[in-house]
Amino acid sequence: MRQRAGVEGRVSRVMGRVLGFRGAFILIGLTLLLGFIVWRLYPSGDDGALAEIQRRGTLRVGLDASFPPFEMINETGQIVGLDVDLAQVIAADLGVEAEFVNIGFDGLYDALLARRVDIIISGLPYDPRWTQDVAYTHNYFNAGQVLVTCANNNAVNTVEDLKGRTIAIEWGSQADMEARQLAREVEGITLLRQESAAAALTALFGGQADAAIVDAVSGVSAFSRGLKIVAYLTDEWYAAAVPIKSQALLEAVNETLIRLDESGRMAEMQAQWLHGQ
Amino acid sequence: MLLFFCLLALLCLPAAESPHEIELGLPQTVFTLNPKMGVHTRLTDEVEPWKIKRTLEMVREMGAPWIVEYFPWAYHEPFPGFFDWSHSDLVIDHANRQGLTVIARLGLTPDWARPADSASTFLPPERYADFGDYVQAFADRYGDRVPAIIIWNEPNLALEWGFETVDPAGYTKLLAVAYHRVQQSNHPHVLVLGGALAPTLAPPGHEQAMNDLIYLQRMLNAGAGEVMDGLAVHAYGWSFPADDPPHPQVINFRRTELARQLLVDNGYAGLPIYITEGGWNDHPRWTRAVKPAQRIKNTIRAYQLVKGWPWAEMVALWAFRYPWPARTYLDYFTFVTPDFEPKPIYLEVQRYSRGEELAR
Repeated sequence: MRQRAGVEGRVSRVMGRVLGFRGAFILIGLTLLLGFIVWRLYPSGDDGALAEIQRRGTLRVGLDASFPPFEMINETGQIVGLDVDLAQVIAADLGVEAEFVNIGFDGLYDALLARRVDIIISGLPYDPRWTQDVAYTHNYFNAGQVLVTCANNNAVNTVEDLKGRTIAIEWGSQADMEARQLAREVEGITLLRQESAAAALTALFGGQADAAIVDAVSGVSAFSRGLKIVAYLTDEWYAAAVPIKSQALLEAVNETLIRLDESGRMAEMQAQWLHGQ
Repeated sequence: MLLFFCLLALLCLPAAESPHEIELGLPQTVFTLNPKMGVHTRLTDEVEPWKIKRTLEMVREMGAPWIVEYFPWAYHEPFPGFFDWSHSDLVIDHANRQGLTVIARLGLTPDWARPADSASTFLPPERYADFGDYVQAFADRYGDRVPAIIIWNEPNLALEWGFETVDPAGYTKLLAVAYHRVQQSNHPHVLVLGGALAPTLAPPGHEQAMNDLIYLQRMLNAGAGEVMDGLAVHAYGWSFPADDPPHPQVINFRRTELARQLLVDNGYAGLPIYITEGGWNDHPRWTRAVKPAQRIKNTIRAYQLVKGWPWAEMVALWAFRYPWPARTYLDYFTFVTPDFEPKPIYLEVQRYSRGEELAR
């Protein structure tokens, strides 16, 4: 300890002799100022992706345009969908244009890590196996399985209320699996298997069933027909992903997602794309 | 004294369970009305022995007597001439005990057999003999229990051919090496299956892929018919019903019949077809998926079709179960969840194999 103090003392004395004490203080001050500027520009080991995007003027968005209504190719060959609109809002907030790169779903993470794209926005479920390499933004949609009933049905408000009731489901779907599980847990449930999620909802609205289990996209799509969600039975959250060191980009995207959520704009965009799916 | 207590603690620890300590159990039989039913399992990355056993039990209980499984060269020969058969023993022992017939898919180049920074699907021609060593060693060890092996996978895709230009004649040379090494093994009766081509409509000159029918014809032109005992076919239905008629410009399940016709036209009518991948996906929104109800009907119909094709030995649909969720549309190809929950399609196929009515 004493020896270390001795070394520091010698360094100070040498600097003092070379620069003079005033010069040494100025040098230290400049170093601290430079450090502060670097810290503000590239916080905590940031890779500078946000600055590069703004310099380039484009946000390269990786997506697999085979997943309606989140991303798909329309009749004129354009990539459209909820994620496309979301990406455009994010890009506008960053002051750049969105550029879409259509990649097979299996190749999205590789494209991100190889820096062929800056961000993935593609109906992407959170996957803990990737968290060493990518950072996920805040979730923006839960695509899990939902228990739904008619908006004017006051008898079904919880899963327990299903006792002795009929649930419509799409035969063979994940909803079918969830319904079989519920039937083991709640007494007297009858399952009404239909050919599609739409047919299950039709059975619900037609009074053949007291409730239905469908995926959240189908459920949200039917809000305008007078549907209410009783409970989410499973969660499948979608988020965007950036390289793990693109922290400034992550922060900026999250700010946009929060703004869209708090302003109700996110709900409007979802309603626009999910309606009629 | 500290050392003494450390040693004492080590002695008190329960002995680590060896992979083979999961009992094989009594020999089982597959009961099914369709002896050509099969599935492609995904046990390569399955570490826990009880999960391997449970997977294979569930295959048997579904009524499928065949499985196709991948035995990567890179895993089983990590150093030249050093073979590690511990995992493959586990899979094949349990499969046989469940009464299942295993078809082995061989491929994936070890680091030592390819240039640095090359893809694991790249095998330089000067290393074909090394792959032959692995094929012969595999046949020596398992030839009495594994009746057929598939050489490589989807070589008509650049992705599966080391990101090189695909090369039907080059693949045929690899097939010939494998064929002759099986002939030299202790079990020369093991069948060598070639092809396993990805169904694709890639236009001529496409840098990523070659149309599977064109590739097959070029394989046959290069002499593949003389160095294989059967053709492995991948038969995906995408969004088409199982009965959709075959057409060269359509990828559907019955495209298999076009591959069969090529064999006939080239004088190889005697070569049987093994469908070693195929099936439908029932993701709610993936554009190539069908609805779950359609997937159930298509799958059962596909099993029925193959049962009636005298030139087809079996059909193994992709994929029985993944060790963990893919968290993509790929999860919707499976019959059973990673935690062994049977999906409705599993239960319906099981009913079919038992001759029972479907749930709806």
